[in-house]
Amino acid sequence: MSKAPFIEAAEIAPGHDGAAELVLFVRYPGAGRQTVTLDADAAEVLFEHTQTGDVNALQGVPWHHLKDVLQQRPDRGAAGGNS
Amino acid sequence: MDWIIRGGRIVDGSGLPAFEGDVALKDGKVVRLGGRIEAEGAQVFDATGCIVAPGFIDPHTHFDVQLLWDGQARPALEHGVTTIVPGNCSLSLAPLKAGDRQRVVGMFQQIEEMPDAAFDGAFEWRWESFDGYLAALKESLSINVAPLVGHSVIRLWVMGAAATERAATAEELAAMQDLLAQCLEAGAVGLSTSFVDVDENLMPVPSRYAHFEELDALAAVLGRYGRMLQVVPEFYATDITLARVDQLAELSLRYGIPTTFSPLFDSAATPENVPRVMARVAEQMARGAQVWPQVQTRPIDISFTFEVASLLFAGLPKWYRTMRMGAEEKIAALSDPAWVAQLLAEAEPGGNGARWAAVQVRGGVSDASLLGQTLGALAEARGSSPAQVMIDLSLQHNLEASFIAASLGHNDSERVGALLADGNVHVGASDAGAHIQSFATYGDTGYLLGHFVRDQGALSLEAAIKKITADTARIWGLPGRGQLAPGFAGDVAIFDAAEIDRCAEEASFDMPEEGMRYVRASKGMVGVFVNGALSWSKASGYADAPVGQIATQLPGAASA
Repeated sequence: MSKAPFIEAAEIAPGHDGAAELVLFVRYPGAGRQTVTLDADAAEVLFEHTQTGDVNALQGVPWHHLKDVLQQRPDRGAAGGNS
Repeated sequence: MDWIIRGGRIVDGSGLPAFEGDVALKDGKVVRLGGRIEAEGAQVFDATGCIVAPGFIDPHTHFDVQLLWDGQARPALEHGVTTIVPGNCSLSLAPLKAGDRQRVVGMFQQIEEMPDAAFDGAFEWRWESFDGYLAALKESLSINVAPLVGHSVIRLWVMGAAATERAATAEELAAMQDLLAQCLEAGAVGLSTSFVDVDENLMPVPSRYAHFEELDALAAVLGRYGRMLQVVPEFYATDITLARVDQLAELSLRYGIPTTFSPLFDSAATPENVPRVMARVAEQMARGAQVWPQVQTRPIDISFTFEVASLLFAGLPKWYRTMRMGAEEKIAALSDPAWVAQLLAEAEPGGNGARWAAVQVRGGVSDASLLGQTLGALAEARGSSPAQVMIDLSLQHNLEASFIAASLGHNDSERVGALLADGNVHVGASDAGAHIQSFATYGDTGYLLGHFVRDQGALSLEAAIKKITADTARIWGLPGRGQLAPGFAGDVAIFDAAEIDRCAEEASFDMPEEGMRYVRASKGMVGVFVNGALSWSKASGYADAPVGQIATQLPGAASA
C-alpha cells in the first residue's frame, strides 16, 4: 500500500455551468477518500504535470502532482467557473 | 370583479388537496375562490380542465439587465413565473456609481454571457442608488420583482478599486452597513454574496475579498430587517460546502435571518456528496437555523466546441490530444484522412457511433436549419457517422460549430426526484437570464410539474406547487404572495396538468441588436395573471400590461 496519497480514480462529469469537469478521487494512507474537482484549465495543468492526456492514465498518480496544480491555481484550481 | 377564472381545479399553494371552483380577481388581488362565482361585467377566463395555481416564484435569476428592456422577463412569464428574484451571486446593477459601471458590466458579461449590445444603448443608465434602479425598472415592469442587492457592488461602492485588493476597514464596514440598510429600505429582499464567481479577467469578484467579519456585519443589518442572505458556496468541494452550511447556520441563528445557498446538484460521479450536504442541512435546520439549499429541477448538459479542449474528450486520448493542439495544427489534423480514421476508431469503436448520436448542433453554423439537429440524424441523412459529422461541421465553420450533449448530469430521476421532495430543499437555482449563450434556463417549473410530478410521481401536484409558491414566498418573506386566498395578489398560473412541460431548447435572436440566446417555450400553460391582469395567454401571447410590483412590499403597495 502506498504511503502517500494518490489519485484512485478520475471521471468526467458535467459542471453546473455546462462545461465538463474532471473529478478526481484521492485516496489517503489512512483509508480516507476525498473528491477534488478541476475545471478544464486546471486539468490541463495536471495533464502537463503528469505528461499524459488521458483521464484513465491519472489512476495511481501521486497526490503531489495535484497539490502542485492547486497551489499554482489557488483561485480556479478547483472548478469554480461561475455560478 | 375584474376577472373570473372559471371552472378550474384549484391548487392553492398551501399543500392541501386540490378542489374544484372559480377564482375571482379584483383590483389586483384574489377576492374569492371556490364554488361558482357570478359577477356582472367581469371578464371570464375559461379554465375548464386546467389546474389553477398561484403564480410561480423563481428565487434565483439574473434578469437584472434584461428587465430594463423587457419588463416581462421573457420567456419566464409564459412558464407561469410571476415573481422573480434577480441580483443573485453578489451581483446587482445597484447601488453603482457611474464610474464603476464598466467594471460591473464585465462581471455580468462573464457570468450571464450578456452581449455588449445589452448594455450599450438598450436602456438609459441614469441611476446610481438602489431606489433609482427600482424606479427605472418600474417604468415597464410586467412581472413582480424581489431584488437582491449584490455584496460585490456594495463593496465596490464603498471601497472602489480596493474592493478587489483587501479586507475592509472598520469605517468601510460601517459604510457598507449603512448602504445595505438603504437598499433594504428601498425594497431589496436581501444580500447576495459569492465565494466562487470570477470576473471577465478570471479574477475573484469583490465579495470574495471580504473577511468573515464583513459578512457577519452585513448579516447583522439583514437581521434588523429579517432579510435573506443568498450565498454561492464552493459547490465543487463538498467539505467546504459543509463548512459553509455551518457558517450560514450560525449567521441565521445569530441574527434570525433566512439563508440560502446554490447550486446543489446530483452527480453520478459523486453520488455521496448531496446526501452529505443534506444531512448537515437537516442537522442545522433541527437547531432552528434556516439554511435552504436550492436545487434545480432540470438536468445538466455539456456544451463544447472544437476551439477549446473540452474535458468531455479527456477519456479519448487521441481526441483530447487533437483538441489541445493550436488552431492551425488542429485543422490540419482534422483534415488528414489517416488522422481522422484513428479518431473515428477511438470514438466509434467497431463503427458504433451511438455515444455521439444524441449530441445536438447548437450554434456557430451558417445553416440555421442545422440548429437542434442531432449528429445521429445528420449522419443518417449524409450517409456518414456522428463523429465524422461533428468533425465535418467543425472544419466547415473554422472550429466554431458548437454542440451540446444533453442530460449528462443531475439526471438520475430517482435521486433528483427524492431530493426535490425533501422538506429541507428549496426548489430553485434556475439561473434564468444567465448563461444565455450556453443553455436555456427557462421552464424548470414545467419540467418539475411534467417530469417529476406527472411522469415520475416523485411529488404530488399539491406538494410541488407549494414548493414553488407558498414555500418560496415564506422563505423569502414576500408578503401576500404564493397562495390563492382572499387578499393575496392576483398572481395565477393556469395550466393543463396532462401537458405541462418545457419545450425543446431553441436559439432565439431576441436580445438587443438581434443578439442570440437559448430559450425554451412553455408547454401546457394556458394563462398567466400578474396582479390581477392577464399578462400572457396561450391564445393571445404576451399582453402589454405594466402591472409588475416590487414583491417585498404588500401587493398593491408598490404599483408600477
